[in-house]
Amino acid sequence: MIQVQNLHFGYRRKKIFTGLSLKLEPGHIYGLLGKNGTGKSTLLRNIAGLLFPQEGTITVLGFTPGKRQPAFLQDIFMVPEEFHLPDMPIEHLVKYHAPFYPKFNEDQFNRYITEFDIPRSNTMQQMSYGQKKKVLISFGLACNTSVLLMDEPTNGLDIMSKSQFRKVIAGCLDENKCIVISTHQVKDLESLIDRVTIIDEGRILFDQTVDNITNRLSFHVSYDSEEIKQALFREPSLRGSAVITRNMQGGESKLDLELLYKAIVLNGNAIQSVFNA
Amino acid sequence: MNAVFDLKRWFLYLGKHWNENKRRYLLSLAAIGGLLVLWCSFLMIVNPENPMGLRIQIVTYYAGLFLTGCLFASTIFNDLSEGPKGIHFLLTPASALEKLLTAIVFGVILFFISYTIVFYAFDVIMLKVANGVMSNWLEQHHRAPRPPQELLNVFIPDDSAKEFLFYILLIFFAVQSIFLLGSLYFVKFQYIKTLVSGLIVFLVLVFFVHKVLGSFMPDGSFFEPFRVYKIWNTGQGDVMILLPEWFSSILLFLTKYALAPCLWVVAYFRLKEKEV
Repeated sequence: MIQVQNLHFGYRRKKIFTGLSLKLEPGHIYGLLGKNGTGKSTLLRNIAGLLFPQEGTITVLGFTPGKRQPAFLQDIFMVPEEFHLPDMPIEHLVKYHAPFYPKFNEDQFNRYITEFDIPRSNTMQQMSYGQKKKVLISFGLACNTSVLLMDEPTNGLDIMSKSQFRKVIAGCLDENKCIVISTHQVKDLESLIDRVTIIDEGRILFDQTVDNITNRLSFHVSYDSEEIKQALFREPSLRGSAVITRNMQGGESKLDLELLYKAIVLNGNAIQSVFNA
Repeated sequence: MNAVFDLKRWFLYLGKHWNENKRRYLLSLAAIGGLLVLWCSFLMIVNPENPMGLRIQIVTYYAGLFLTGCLFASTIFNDLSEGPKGIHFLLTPASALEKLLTAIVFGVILFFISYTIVFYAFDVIMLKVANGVMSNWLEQHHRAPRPPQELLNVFIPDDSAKEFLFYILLIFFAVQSIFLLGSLYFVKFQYIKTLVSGLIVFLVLVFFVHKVLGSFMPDGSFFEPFRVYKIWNTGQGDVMILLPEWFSSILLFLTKYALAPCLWVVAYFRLKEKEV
């Protein structure tokens, strides 16, 4: 569905990607994690056709994104971190924007708007940042595009909205859709994503399915000094230490995305060795 | 689905564009009307004897058209200079041609029609006020009454100016297209940057024609544009070189009508390669 091959991209003074390759399949929610400025948004913009690779190729749904053909644009939707919604009431948004998206479902949109508790009578200018973002997310989901790109979607959402966000995202995935969520708020995505891709310094640092991670790694709080010492990664907490160890039980453990992220960034080799074995 | 142009999709895009921008466009027209009122009021104060003569009306119409038309054209692709708006613009599922045509429809065609309507709407009113001011002034200064100033046809005021004003309009559309292109090329201060760049390009062209091309040509100049070249002081009097009719016709046609469309084609390719 999305194939990135040998991507080279940089801004005037800074090289971001030097040979990044990535393959994203339908039916998954991908979590794109990484520090600020590591290229998460740049990658999403390359996939959406807003930026063009300097070298390498990107293919999305069989299209070259940079050509921005209408058939491609109507099957991809992006929720950028900083977004724009024209100042109009919600019904005008549906009336004038939705016809561009053939798979747009108005009932679905109305359901999301209700779930997110957005006042329908307000125009966009009268709404708060969070409300506007929820309108955009609802619209993007109701467009039912094959590719949905979200850049820091939970920024600006309150606690309740974050939980509603997770609920609606989980409910809209099907085998034909590919959802890519870029964030540094890893806790927000923990129960949502089924593949974790961590980018650092313009390269893929880690790329595994959640099933694979939870089958091979165990995330828990340990009080056993020996276990803490031998852990792949440890972090002192108020009670005991949060640790990542090899999953010897055989069953699935519960993923702690934040801990995994820290472990990959700070002690990536130890974690990678588990998956390379 | 046609990837380059689809009539139904274009109409959808036109509707969307109008709905998103109507407030801005209507405010711009109101601002133009306000400026016309201010200008006419100024004329009535400084020259109550003949505040809105025919020549003043023509100058007002064309100076206003150039100033506001170019300013408006330089804001057509303003969205692309603001990240979030640029993303919204580029990701809307319509082709680059449909987006550019929409910009031309609103920024060039509809602007010209709307400006002319606004000009006349305010000209009719201000002319009545000006005629009142003029007759009062003449009465107060014990001068003989004069016939009131009439509403002018700004395109054909009289037969002698008809062709000249037609060329002025063609120049306007070409200059406006330069500003439209500038709104795609420059991220900030599009109006000023286009103005400065346009002037530099113009001066370089003039220099190139006069100093470089001129050095290859015999001493003379065009007697009729693109048709007759006159060589001076050959010893046997002036010599006229007549260019073939078809050649001069094509050159003249291209200069008159092709400049603006050529700039739109450049704008199309610039829009296609735009990144946000």
